[in-house]
Amino acid sequence: MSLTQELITLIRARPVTAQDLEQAALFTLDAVA
Amino acid sequence: MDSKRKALLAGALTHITETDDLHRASVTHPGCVVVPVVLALGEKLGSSNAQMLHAILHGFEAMCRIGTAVGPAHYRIWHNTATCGPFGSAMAAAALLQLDDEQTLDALGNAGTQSSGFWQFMETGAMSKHLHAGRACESGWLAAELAAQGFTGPAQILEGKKGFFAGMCVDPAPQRMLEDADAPWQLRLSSIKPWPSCRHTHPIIDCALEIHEMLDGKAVDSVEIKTYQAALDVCDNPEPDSEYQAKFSLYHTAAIALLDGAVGLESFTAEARMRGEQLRRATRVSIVDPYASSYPVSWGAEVTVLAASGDQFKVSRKDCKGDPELALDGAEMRAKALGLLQYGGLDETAANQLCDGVLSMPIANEPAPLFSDFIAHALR
Repeated sequence: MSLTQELITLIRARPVTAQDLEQAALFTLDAVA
Repeated sequence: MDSKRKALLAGALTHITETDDLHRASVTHPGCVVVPVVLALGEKLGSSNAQMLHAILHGFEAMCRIGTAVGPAHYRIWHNTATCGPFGSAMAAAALLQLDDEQTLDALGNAGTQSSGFWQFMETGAMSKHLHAGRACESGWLAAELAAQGFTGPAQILEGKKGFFAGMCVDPAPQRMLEDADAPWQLRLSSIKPWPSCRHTHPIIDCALEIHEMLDGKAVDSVEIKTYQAALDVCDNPEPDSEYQAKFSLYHTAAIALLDGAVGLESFTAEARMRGEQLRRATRVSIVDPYASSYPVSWGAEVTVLAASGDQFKVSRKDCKGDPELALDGAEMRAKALGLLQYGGLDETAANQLCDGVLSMPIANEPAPLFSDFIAHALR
């Protein structure tokens, strides 16, 4: 398995919480502004 | 203008005021690459808010994790946001396009083969840095779109003999990008900039603002800054002759923070540079531990000011305001956004509506017309 494949697997296996989504929205706001 | 080209424009404009986020370990600005692609492609595809926020987490994660593996020597020549950015935008686009793992591998392979972006522009203050962010948006999106059509990419783009690490990294640590798989998302380990200048200037600004209060109007005789090597590599400019160069000057940012007790978008004008001239010339910078050895885990500094009265004031910082350890709260984040949106020409009502639209993304069912608003705002 290549490093890229391992990275894809790692990322897609990670759980996402409501707090993660709230933080993602804050960083979205920071970028949009 | 098609959507990808709009994303290029939005990425460049997001990066242009030096107010965008920063991931310390990778020395990248992920938001200006990942967010424009997600908003533009998400709008085109009719993606839900949840899909877009997930894609942003994925894009940050790929870009930051690859950035932690490039090694410190990479940053001396290459602009990490430009070189690692295509991986982030491709990963985010792959999530929105619902590519399977094999297609995503193709996407990242062809994102990596488009990786580029040198620091050479800094010598003259040329505009290349903004192009770096924009092209990173566009190239990763293109790679993902091609992968969706069956266009293949190199699976070993990172570790291959003629790949990314071999070609662009003197001292890479490839396995580092797979470490701490259970750590918080890299987005949550990223920093928000409170001041509109290069992040390397921020620990110094933090110290200088505190010293401004201590000085209580006393004149300054000399300034001594202790920092880490990368800060000097990028921001060793004692005589900035443009607004942009002033944002990358340790000397000017320290001077203006000491003089004014505040740093804002107006702190880099010709008038501000003229006011800071005397203090810049009285400033010395050196590379000293623990700041040198702690970088990039910590971006710290120490500032010592000798007042004309003979009093000496010394302040140090291990972390900067806006780092996860000293995070801006929700109100500070909103205030920063409102200030920038209004600086860009939106009235207060429109700025508040845009903020509300973005902040409601985790709970709102219907996506707000974010990208259209974003572009309309950016083009004012």
